[in-house]
Amino acid sequence: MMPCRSRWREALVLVVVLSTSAAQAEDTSDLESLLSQPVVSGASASAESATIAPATSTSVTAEELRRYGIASLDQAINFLALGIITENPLGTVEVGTRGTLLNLDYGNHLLVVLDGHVLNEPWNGTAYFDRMVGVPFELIDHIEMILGPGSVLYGSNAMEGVINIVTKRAKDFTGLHVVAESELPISLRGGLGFGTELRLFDQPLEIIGQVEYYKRKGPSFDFAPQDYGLDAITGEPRRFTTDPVGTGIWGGRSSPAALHYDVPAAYLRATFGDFQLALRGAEAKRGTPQGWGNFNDPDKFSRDRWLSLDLQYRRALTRQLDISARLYGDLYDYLDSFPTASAEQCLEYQTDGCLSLLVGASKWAGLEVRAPFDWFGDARFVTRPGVDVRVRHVSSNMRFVDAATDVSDTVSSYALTEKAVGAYLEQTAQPLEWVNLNAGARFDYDERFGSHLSPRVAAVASAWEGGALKVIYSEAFRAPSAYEAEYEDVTYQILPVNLRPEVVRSIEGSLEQRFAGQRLLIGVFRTSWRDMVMATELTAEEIAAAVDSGALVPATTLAYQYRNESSFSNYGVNASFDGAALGRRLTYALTFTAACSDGDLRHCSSLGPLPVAAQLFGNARVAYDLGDSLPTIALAGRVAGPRLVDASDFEPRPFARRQVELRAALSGDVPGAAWLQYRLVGNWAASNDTPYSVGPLAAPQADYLRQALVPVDRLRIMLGLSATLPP
Amino acid sequence: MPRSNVITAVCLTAATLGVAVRASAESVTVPVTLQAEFVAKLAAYDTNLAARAGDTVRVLAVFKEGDPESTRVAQQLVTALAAKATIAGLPHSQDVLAWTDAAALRAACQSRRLAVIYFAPGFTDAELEAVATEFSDANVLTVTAVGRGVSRGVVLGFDIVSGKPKLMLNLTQARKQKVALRPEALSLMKVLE
Repeated sequence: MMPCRSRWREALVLVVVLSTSAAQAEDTSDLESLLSQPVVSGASASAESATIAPATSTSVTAEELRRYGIASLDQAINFLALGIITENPLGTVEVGTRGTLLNLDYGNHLLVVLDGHVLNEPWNGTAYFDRMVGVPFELIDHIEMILGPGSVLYGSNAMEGVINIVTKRAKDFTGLHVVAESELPISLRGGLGFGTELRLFDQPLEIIGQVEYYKRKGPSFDFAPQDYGLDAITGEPRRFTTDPVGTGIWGGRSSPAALHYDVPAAYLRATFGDFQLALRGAEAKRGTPQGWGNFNDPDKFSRDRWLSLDLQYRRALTRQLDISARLYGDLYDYLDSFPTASAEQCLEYQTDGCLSLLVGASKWAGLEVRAPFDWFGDARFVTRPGVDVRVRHVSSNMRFVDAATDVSDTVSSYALTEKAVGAYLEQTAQPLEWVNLNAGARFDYDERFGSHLSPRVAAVASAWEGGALKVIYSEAFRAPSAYEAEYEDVTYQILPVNLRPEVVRSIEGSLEQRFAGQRLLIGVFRTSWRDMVMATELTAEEIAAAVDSGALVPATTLAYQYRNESSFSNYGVNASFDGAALGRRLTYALTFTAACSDGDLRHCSSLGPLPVAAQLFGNARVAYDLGDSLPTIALAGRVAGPRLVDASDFEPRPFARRQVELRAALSGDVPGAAWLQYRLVGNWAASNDTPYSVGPLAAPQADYLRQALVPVDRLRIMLGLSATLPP
Repeated sequence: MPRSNVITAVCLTAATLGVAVRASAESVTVPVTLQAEFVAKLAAYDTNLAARAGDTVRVLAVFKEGDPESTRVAQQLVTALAAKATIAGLPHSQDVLAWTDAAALRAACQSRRLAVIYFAPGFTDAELEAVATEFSDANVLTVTAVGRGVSRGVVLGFDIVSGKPKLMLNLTQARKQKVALRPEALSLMKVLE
């Protein structure tokens, strides 16, 4: 094996050769450096060069999405972004950053923003990072993946970072667009979009929109049988299917119908003068063969629905003062419908099985007003105050319907209306030509948890040609979700007491150097997470006290309560290199993150990495545009190091093997029909391991010696066609 | 919060918005500091700049009076350029001017020996077309803050696509205004003929 030092030396030589050849080929490197600078708007309250933005970020362009055959947000994250990664337990992907991934959090530690509108809902903070984000991909202009705490602008949930999705201007999406795409042969996505620019009452009017439907069934997987044995309630072999007689055996080959997705989505954005109106509606229904409930049951599903409206207004009032206002309102609901034939998973008397139904709903509306003041009218000293006032209503109901009698029994139900206000102030200053400062704080008051202050300070020194040194300190928080604060179930969970917000504090530094059309970024970070909320197992004494108070039923032997129980930290290094050569027809990039996370999370056997979270990961890509009517050829790969498996009692704790995923994409215009574009994508994963345990057994048995893991869809071909018809 | 307070807040906001009755033009999308960087660097690719400018590169940022955003952007550009030691290796000066009409601007261009004229946002298509006509035999680089202006006869413009800045060039108008950018720079631009 080549010594590590030699490999570094080879890599350095390659970088120098690439950059030198690029520099020699053209002498426009100064212009190319400027043209390759992403302009981001999600890190602070204004558009700015990513170099001086108060965060480390990746900007993924629509062209890159097309070039690499990216069809969903998780693919964009894994193949194109720095410091962020997803894992797929089948169902909904989970997302983590820089060595952390908070398992089973429904994405509520990372904020997802669409054209300034936050998508995380207030019942459980839910956001998705795959097809279920419910945003037609053809509309996306670019995606800003911003790492690190971002509550200074956005309030709750922006702990790991912010994903800011920005849709296209109408000028870049004119005409009628028809899309058909398939991950052969398991899925089909069809879409119809349009974009137009008009003048109305002598004002510019822009409209873009798309409706689409994504449907998938399969693939099938083989789940090795697990002999669970007897049902603890009936004393008979546990039933894992609807067969009237149980076998105690879980597993087998799943049917394609048991792994299903149905995601219709629509988005419309209209800009008229100083106003912008955005409407979004989406539904995400999916089911998996594994997990809670029956095995391989096509009737098992979860469903989210969203309807949102966002009206923005922006105007320069004077040479110094702007005002912008955003009025927004959202409706959201969630349904888990899990049939189970196992008496163990039902209420005590439901010995023939049950249907478990969890309903969550939220609706919220608010007004956000910003009034940036440019003191000298030259953008060198700008104060940006803002206030966001919100009213929200959340409700939930959890019940079990007896499979034999259809009698329904509610175990948890709550509804509440809450108000919250956040006020923030951001100050930017450019005291010297090469120094950019950004300091701010946001104060949040929320009826659910009280108040919280989130500061951020950043300094960027661009003291030499093409270089920038950046230092950032930032904090963020996550309010306990309504689910965590209000859910109780007399069979296994009691209400929390004085649940506080989770808090994250981060300090990071980075060095960026641009040269000859290339960009190199190296950063270090250390992040500390405190008061993390987790379901904590009650002691025997605590259970007895809860039974005495009526919070738990008398037979309870195992019960939980959400508590601010955990803290941990992560630190490490991230780096990226990207560039272009040969007249920008050749583009390439690579990113790398090495992190170390440790903590006292209860489900860690000792201090060690967080479950599921990769400590070492990265990606690399290269694309070449053959020009004229010839296609663009693109290759991309990603690697994720070994990851600790979740929810396993095996000793030593098992790790999922290193994952290497490769994809090749071919895209371009169909010869002789420039209005018709195609893309052909092949994706291959080397390992069949995910870091998720699967099946009812979490501990070794005589015939069960290795933790079974959720499998990977290892090879998939995608073919897509899109037609653009002029207006 | 009592319902009356909410209603009051909404009314106050509506009243504030109501003050601003005049709709604005297209907003700038490329940060002005970045536009200034482009102007300074692109000037070096104009093979006719030295002859046009003489001993000093003179830049004029034109804005629409009464349009706060236009005024601000013009000032920001001038401030950002002032921080540059040289433009294309030459000393430079920069100033702002309120728009009156194309003929007056042409006169100012000749009397001040301007090398670059920058149009802040806020100009109508008709105004930019009038400039293009008036300057069709001039010797000056015209630049617009918004890409749309290039199709209306401004030589150079900025746009943003997929979160990255783009350069747009009206080659026909560039030839008329004796702007001769080197071919390698043209290869980085979206060129309109």
